[in-house]
Amino acid sequence: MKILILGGFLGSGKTTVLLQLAHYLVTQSPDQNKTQVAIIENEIGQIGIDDQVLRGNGYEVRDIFSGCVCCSLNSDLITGIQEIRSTADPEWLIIEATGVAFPDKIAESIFCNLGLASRIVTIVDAKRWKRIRVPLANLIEGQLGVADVVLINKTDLVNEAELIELQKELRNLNDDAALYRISGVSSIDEEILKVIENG
Amino acid sequence: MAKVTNSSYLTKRRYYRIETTIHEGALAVSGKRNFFNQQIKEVQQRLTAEFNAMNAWVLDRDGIIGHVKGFIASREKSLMISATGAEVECRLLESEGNSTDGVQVSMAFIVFNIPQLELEEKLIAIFNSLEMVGKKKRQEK
Repeated sequence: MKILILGGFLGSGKTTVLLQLAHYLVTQSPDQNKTQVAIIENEIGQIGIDDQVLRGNGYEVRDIFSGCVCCSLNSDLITGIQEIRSTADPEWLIIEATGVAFPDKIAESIFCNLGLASRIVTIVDAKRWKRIRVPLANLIEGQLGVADVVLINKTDLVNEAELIELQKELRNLNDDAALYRISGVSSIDEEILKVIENG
Repeated sequence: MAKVTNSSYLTKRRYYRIETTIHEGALAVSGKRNFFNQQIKEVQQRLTAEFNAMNAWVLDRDGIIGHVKGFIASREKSLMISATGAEVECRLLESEGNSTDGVQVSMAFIVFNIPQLELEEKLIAIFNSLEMVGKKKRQEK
């Protein structure tokens, strides 16, 4: 079971990316008899919204609400992964983190408790970058510094000069991650999905 | 890099089932209610207007909107309305909708730098506002 953690600030587009990614992974799987994708949805609030969107698109979702799996609900996450592995044992487990989670803590906990490595994909909202970069620096840097792949989303809502500036800042925070531009007005390029899938 | 990890805590207002979580400085207030005399289109319009006003309300208080989102479901259809400080987006979902009568509304506000009680009161005010949707029309009839 391969594990993918989707991180990124609130409203950056994690659920939208998840839907496309899950669809891609399901269609790419050679073994259609096996469960291809399982989803764990973590929301900070007690009442979930994104899980309803995912279910509305036909996916089975395990909910972990009212806190963050990177800290207070960490044991729920580990239990959830163990159950998914022992029952469905999917090819892929996608964990959508809350928008205020530190994905590296989730990955670390999964590795320490279960010996499983995770890939981290962090989504960035290009339009809100300037608004949140300074006041929420600790969170933003924590989410981006550890990512294997960074997807700059909502690129249709800013101009090219702003995007170049943003990419420079992202490179300063994480020089190793694969960096791609995406937009909600069009599907994610299959080449990008392949990179997420294969590393 | 210093990373803060604080635990969450909850406050509950039973009547509205509003629950609040705090994490990394973000205040998450959420609630859910069923409305039995409303039409989904009217609820959608009112909620869109309320979320637009919410953007300005948070900004006026020097707060930061993380994500303001609502999920509306009836037997016919379901849709998500969300805002991140600017425009309000509405996305119709392909699902068949809710299995129960009426219009079910779930809302979650995740914001920074707004006092907890003010945010809880805001959520209650919006639920109250939805209660009034269509009432005037029905009274006129």
